[in-house]
Amino acid sequence: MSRPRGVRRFFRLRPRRDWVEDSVDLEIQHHIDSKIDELVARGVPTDEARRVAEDAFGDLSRYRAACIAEQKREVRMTWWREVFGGVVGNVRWAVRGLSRSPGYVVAIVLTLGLGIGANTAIFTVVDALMLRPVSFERPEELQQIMPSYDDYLLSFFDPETAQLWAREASFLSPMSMYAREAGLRTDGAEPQTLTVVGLSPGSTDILGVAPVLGRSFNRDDAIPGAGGVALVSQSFWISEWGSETDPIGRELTLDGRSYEVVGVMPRKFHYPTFGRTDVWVPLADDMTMLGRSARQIQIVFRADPEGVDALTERMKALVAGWKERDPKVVWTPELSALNQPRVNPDVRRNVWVTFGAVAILLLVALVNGINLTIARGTTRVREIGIRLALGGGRGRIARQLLTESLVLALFSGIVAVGLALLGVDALSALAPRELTYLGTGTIDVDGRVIAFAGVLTVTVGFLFGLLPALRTVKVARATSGTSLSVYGATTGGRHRLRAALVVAQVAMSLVLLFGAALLGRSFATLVASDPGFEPDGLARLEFTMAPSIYPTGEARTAMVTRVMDRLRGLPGVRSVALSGGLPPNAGISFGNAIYVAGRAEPVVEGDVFLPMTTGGPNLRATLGTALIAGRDFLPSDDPAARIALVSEPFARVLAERPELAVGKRFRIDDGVEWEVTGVIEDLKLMGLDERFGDFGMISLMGDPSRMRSWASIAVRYEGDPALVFGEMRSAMREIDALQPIRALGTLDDALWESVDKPRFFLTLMAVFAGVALSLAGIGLYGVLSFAVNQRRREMGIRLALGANVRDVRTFVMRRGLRMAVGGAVIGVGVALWMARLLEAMLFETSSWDLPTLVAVMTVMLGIASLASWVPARRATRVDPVEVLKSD
Amino acid sequence: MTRRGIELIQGTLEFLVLETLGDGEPRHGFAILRFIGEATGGALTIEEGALYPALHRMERRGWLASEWGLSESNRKAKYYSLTAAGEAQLAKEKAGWAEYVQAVDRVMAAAGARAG
Repeated sequence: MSRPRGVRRFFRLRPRRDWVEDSVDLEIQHHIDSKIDELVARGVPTDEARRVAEDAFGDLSRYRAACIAEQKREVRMTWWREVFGGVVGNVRWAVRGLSRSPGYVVAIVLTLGLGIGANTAIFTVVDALMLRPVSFERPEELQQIMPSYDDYLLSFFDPETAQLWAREASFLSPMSMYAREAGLRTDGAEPQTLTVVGLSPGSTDILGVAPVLGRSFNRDDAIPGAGGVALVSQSFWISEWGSETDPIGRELTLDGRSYEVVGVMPRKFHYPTFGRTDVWVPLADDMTMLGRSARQIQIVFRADPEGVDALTERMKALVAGWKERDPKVVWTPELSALNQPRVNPDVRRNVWVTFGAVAILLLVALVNGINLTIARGTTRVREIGIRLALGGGRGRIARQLLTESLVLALFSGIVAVGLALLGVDALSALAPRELTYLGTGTIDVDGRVIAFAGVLTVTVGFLFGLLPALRTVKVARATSGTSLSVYGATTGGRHRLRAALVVAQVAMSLVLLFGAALLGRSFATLVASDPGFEPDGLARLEFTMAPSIYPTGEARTAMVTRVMDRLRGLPGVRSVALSGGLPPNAGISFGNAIYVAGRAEPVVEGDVFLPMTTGGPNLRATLGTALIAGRDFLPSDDPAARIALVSEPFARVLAERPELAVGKRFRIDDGVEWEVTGVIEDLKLMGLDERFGDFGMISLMGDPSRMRSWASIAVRYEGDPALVFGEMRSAMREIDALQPIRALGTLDDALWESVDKPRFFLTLMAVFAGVALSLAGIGLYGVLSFAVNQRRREMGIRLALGANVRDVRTFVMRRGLRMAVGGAVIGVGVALWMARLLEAMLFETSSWDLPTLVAVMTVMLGIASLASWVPARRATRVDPVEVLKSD
Repeated sequence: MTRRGIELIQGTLEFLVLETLGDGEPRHGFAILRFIGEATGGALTIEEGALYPALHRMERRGWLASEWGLSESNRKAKYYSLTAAGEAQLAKEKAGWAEYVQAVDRVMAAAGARAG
């Protein structure tokens, strides 16, 4: 209705759509008009009456605004009250209804809880490795300086260059420098080799992490010669000395020197992020730590992300100046932000694939949930039909059903978090070490993970509730809940829908099963492959000699010789050999090209990897590696000679036939030139999967003065390993009681450990596939069983009319198998298509492996038959008389 | 019309509104004002507009219920009436007011007795 002119003019308003304001305006208008009427009746002229009335009203805009505010608040509160009341009402209704079907509740909560829980558990890994931001203050500002060579990027500098940076790059100040060294700790119960990180003073401030106890390093600690202080991690303090004791002031003896603990770093701080760091010492201004010069120093500083480009230019200019002074500087500086995840792309891909697999598992579980809910909905069609007929709103009923699903989802979510906690424990225990250490911290269930579980729970609740809710209401509306129609409705479209869902389930579990089978086949192939040596009866003894005790190469050689002589004398020991590293993690060299003497063109170009190790004359024999051509090393060989044994695949590259490789000389880039004295069989020095290529090389162990600080001794033995190892340990202790043994074990075990990553992912995949398959089987069983139930009348009639029991059974089984075959066909198609994703994880197995496919389909059809057989049998047990009497 | 008489404070205004509607007859804002004006003979005055926020506030608190209707002059007007809660509030305030008056009376009597 049009507003009186006076009001509009007074308010200077444009017409508003808001009904609250309209209503207030109307009310006020009525007052003014009434007042005007009163005044006019008393004889006041109209214009003056209006003026007086408006005047008497008072501050119109203020009162109007106050009314509008009150009104709006009232409207809001009423709305909230209604919504809340609605929700509470729905929840109460839902709980009442659910308590009447405990079986259904348990089934749903377990199924969905399992699905959500598994996803949450895997998410903790994904989050820890790839999503969670690094736990420093404003990590996007932290930059690391990386020297970039032509084809590769390193992350560290030598001490002289590090000092150059410290002295001449003041525009980057303050800088944090750190280096990692192995330190021998002798003040504990047993001698221990620890990873010790040297930190320059102020580093913790730059990172934005404060010690939880005590202090961090200051400038005085970095004076060369001082710095007898240390920081420890919280977990180190608690596990070593107990949380009851005060760690400040305790002494650590590292490499023969005494360090006083002055601070404790927070629980999740294991900086730098690689490996496990528990002890930090100061990195002195002259780049020394633990009494010796640090070798690889990394540099980090804090900078505004906007200014990174400008800084890089300044850095490049500075380094160009260094290059002029010293031509050996062949690198340029690059910056890498610290908040990038430093995860191996291999690992990353594997984790994502696993995440995808577990998501498929959730879908399978979800479909089960939907099917169960639809089935349950059938039993309530009558109730709902009546409610609809009596005028209940469709929307309201659908909302109630949805609330029911959400309540169930909530319980499932709680179960899921519980399962996830258990699962994460299991994951941490079983996972290969690399996985748990590569991330920015530990894998555990924290706020982010719970938030993920929450979001997933709500989504699942909606998904599994929505479809059945809409469906039930639609059916109830169409049939008005009469019994005959119930019968018709369920055997028709409803069954088709559930059958379609089961087909989808079967397809999805087939995909998982195929994936697991492929991984399984690949793993089996990997484990069965020939390592190139004889692992049975072969052990390794590895130890690192502390520079403080064995400072020179000769000292180290003497120690090692003593050890080896002792070992040779032990009963059960057949032969002993020294090496620079034993398979499956022997060592590797890399470069851009391999040249053979006499040929100008390189024989191999591009990113070249050459797994290699060093060894004496009896290494090859101790390993049990066959000699194919040429000769092994001899004791008479000059230790300084640059001679090598090469593996067959490498020999084929150096010459057309392995025999012809003997005598050839080769080098990597501009490196040392080696002469081939012999060709050995394909020795897998860097793991069974040969991920670094299939070359191999053993070079003659050089001159004793260049003996490095770690020794790897191969020992061929006979008899019980426990006894032999015990004796080897005693022998070491007798020679040097303080010398810790880094590794003592069989090479069999070492090989098994080297395949821990494929084994881990295979286990996960197999578990998911198994669970999905069971769920699909249960789903199939459920649908068939329900259908049999619904068609009892029909079965009864058939049997009464003389149908063969076997025919009835076949009838049911055919339906079941039809669903299974349908699912299998679709599943195979999808599986083959998705198998490409797995290809990089497979070892010598094609992703279209036919036998695997056949095996998987057979398993699937077997399970489907089993799941169909039980309802089939039940169908034959239907008593025709009883069925005809009922209804 | 000049403004004179005692300026009402807010709490009292609400009391008066409750009292006005206490006879059960729904009234619109103008009628309420007129009733108060007539009953007090013009002694108590308020700025007329101040009534309306009070009415809305009391409605939000649940003491009043409102309904749109046609007024005597055939215009749309909002009529207010007491709810059950409003009646209870009225009884409570009446009791409170009586106590207040009694207390003030006693003080005045005591002071009067002292004075003379």
